[in-house]
Amino acid sequence: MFSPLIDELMSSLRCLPGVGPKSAQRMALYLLERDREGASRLASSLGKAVEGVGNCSRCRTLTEETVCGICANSRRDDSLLCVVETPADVLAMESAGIYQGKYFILMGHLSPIDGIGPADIGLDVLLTRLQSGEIQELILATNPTVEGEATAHYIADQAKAQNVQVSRIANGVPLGGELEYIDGGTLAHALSSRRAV
Amino acid sequence: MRVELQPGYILHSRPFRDTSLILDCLTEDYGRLSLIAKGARSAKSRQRQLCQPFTPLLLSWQGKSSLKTLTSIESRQLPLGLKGEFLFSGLYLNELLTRLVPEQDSCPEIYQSYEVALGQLADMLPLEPVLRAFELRMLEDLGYHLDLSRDADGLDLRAEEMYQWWPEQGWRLASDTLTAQSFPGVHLQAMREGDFQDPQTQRSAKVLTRILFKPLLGERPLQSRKLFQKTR
Repeated sequence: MFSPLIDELMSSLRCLPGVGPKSAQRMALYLLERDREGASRLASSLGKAVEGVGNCSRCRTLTEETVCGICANSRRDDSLLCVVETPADVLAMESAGIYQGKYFILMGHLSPIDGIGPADIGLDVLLTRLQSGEIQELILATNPTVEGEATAHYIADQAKAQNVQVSRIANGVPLGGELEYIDGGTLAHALSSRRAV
Repeated sequence: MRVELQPGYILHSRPFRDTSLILDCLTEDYGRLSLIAKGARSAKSRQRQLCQPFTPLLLSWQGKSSLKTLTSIESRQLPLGLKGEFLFSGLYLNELLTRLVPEQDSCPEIYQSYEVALGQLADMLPLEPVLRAFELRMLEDLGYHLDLSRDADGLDLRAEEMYQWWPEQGWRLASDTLTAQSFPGVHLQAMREGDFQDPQTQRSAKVLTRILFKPLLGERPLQSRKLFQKTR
């Protein structure tokens, strides 16, 4: 019922997560009816980002530079490396605000059934970094899921072979949480890794 | 159709739409099936922690199509907490099951042997015997008849002879030129009795199960084997 260009815009918008036909129509009409300027800004920044953004050569995060801001920051500790699954995890770690080392982003996790093996998550790049000898401690901050644990174990094996100290982030009761509402698996973990006070 | 509190395990889960998960499950009475867990990935969901492999679960679902809707999920026991190589082995079992067990086909024997094998992995028993015993039982339950007592002509297998496996036929005495695919009768007898203690038997069993699984798996290799390649 719309002309071809508008139809094309709507179907392109649907590539976004959570955008169905109805939202796509709303977005397309909004941009065309009320905010043409915003629409052309969106178009040009999308174009530029898709053209320019690649992966950081050191940590694999998304960036248009060869080396990203965190990796290039000389005030951060080069001997600490934290391994996370996604760029969003880096933001989460940064908002915690206490980590002063660098990151390595896997862009996924090992998942044999999905056909994702060690080479697909950049472990060869990580291994070269470990071999360079600048890293003293590797912190494994993959998710506490089955795939995340498998990934952590796999990386830990490789790092130990390079004589790098390896640690895994703790898991347990969330701050402000109530024991009554916490699942048994998490509680069991919290209990088995309790510490003396 | 409504099913309540069916014992089962999740073999694999994958994201679906914004907040849902599609779970590939193995259940006691209904075999392998796909369940959609609506909203399981939303921030408030308490289901998400349970939607993990290697947790003994009670699953309830409803629906007529091949993709059923999960209505409730409860844990029967704590997650098994497989670690290291035992976790990799668990992933290997899950990959075998998702590749070879047809959906919506009741397979209580496979479920039982899976549960036994997971228990053994959680207890950190030696890996090879656990995996080989599971593989041989699974082949049997998939309807692949492997007779470890008689050869193709119906004669008893003898401990001191060497045998070769001929697909569709059975065991035949190995010819003079021995290949990697020749098996000593004594190993086959041990396998029949489920005795995988001897490392030589373990090796034979590994070669044999790979030969047998190969035509079933087709061209695509098992990915989880890659996990073991560098760690060993």
